Amino acid sequence: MATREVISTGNELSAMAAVDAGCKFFGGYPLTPSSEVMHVISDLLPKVGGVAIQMEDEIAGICTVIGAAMSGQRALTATSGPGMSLKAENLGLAQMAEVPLVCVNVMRGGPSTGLPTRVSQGDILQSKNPSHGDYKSITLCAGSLAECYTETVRAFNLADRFMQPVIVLLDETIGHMHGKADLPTQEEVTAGIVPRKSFDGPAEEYFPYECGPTEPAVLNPMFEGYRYHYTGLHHDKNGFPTEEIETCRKLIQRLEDKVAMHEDELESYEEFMMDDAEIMIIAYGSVSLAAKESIRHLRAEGIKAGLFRPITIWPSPAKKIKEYTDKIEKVLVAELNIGQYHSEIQRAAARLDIDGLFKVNGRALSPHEIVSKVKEL
Amino acid sequence: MSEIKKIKNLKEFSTSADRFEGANLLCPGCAHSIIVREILNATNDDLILGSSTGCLEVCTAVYPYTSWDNSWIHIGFENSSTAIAGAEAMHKAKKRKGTLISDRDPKFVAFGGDGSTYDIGFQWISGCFERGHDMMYVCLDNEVYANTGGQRSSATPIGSSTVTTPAGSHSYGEKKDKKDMLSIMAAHNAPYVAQVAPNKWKDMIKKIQTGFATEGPVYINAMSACTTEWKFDPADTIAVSDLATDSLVFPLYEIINGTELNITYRPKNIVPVKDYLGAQGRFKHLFKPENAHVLDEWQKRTDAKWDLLQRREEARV
Repeated sequence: MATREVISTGNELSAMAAVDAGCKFFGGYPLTPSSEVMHVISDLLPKVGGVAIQMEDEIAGICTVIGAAMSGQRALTATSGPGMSLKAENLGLAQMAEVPLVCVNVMRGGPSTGLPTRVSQGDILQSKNPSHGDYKSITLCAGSLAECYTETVRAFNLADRFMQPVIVLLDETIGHMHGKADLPTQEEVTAGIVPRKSFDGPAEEYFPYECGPTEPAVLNPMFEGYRYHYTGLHHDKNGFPTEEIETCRKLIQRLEDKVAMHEDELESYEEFMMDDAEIMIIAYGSVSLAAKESIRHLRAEGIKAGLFRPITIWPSPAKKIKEYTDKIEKVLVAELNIGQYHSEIQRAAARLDIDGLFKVNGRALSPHEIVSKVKEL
Repeated sequence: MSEIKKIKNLKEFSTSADRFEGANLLCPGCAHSIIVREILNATNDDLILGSSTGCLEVCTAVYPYTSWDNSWIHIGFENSSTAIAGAEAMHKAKKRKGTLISDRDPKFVAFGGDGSTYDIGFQWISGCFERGHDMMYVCLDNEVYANTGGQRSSATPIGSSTVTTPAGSHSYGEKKDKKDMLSIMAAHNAPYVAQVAPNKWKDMIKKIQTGFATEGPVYINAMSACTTEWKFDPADTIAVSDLATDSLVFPLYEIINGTELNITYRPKNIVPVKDYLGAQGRFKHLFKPENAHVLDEWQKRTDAKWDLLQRREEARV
């Protein structure tokens, strides 16, 4: 694989990735620690014929992105936890109406204003169900500088494939980390883009929401040639509101199944020294960097530890987790919250004896803390 | 009805008991602390205060210290108005029921920056004014999102270079002029709205005291020169503020009951707008030959606005 080497920060790489992946629109609002995504993309987009608008609030930010996405463009918004809370209603709208967009969330301490300039992984559960109702979120979590780029690119491809919002989680540490990253070339990124499905038959035969029970809607660019209805209400094959019992049931079941039945397309994780591991650490985002370092120390002392790092956080790689937790007794989940993903690991493993190392004071977990905890297991 | 505090002169005012302590983390030269201190010192009443997220909130209550001598609520970016409205409504209800612990009537004041006022908190302020809460909303208008690193807001004036409207070879910075918040708030038929600046302290105190004596919602737009984002020497805060009021870029006036407009400060010597712009780094690029048209536009707009204000004052509309 051809690569290019850049020196940058996680937030900047995420903005670069969006533009390289063909994103032409950004709508957002300054929110620490994500603001650099907006700063960088407002410089990059006009050069490629795109638009970046600083909106008057977070809700306006996501709504312009929905509008731009409906016109057929790839569109991005970026924020942090408090902004996600404000965007929640319209993330739900985008799930219901099947609007593909990407939302980068650079996590900081919460709830509320929390610790605006400090790291956290407190938005894990929020990213699973930001809005009310039933749907299945897709959330990716970058664990390195390079992944801030590659996962943002993947998010755009998945958004178009599944026709729904895709959340990219960075945490403050990764977002503001400055260093070298090996990135795929622009040619490679471009080659990986699969355009949204579209309909090109006669207009009277176009039913955007009439699709297989496990398939996403086929939404043509809204203002080009085909006319259809777009709503957050339960809707029929034309997109028109309906309360017809079976249509309503099928719609919500399809929103779930279009993701649930294709989890293999989404699954993504990293295994680090897992071949002979007797202790499994599960960590994601910036914590995984500390976990890798701790594993090197543990191995030097003869303790066979390994790391399992989910990259697609939602849906979780549950099958793979079960496979490991069935054979490894000692499992430690390390995260910067009070066990938000730990509960998912317990569910996937069907075990209640999974250990946890949690930190919620705005500071990163150090390799030393992980080493000490592993020795206590 | 509470008694209006009598203030004879600046010496007495500046040496009277500080209700807003100077020991805070605001930048040296920040006008926020001057304004808030002037507002709080203008009254002896008990105050119930709220601040939206922003420079004022971040810098004035860093554990274990606080600059506030009264109850103070910090709420999200958009909601100091509504939090204070809730407190005021509850107070009113308790008073009606006769269940208040104290018989002293406090004043309710909400603070927000221009980001929180002109942008994200806009609809909530509008709601508070429409419902007619007995409160004062103070916008500390430094024309930029200073707390989050210098992004433009809808109070950012034309030609200003910010991180999201950077000036360079392709742009002279912000393209739009700022929202006219005072007219918008006056259009709510608010009993009292006024524009103030810390350098004209007597004018400011008079307006604040009028505001406190007014029943119903009061909007105060306070110009707050920002040494960090406007880019001037911290020693020059008052000098830059003087240039703003004397060039009529920031005219001082009030509007009573939505129509009665009074200009409260008429500079003896009006200075050219370029003198005000030239004192700040954020407008530095406007003095390049290719941006001369923006300077002309600035002067033209300022003249037109002043002319309109005078006509509105005369016409009482």
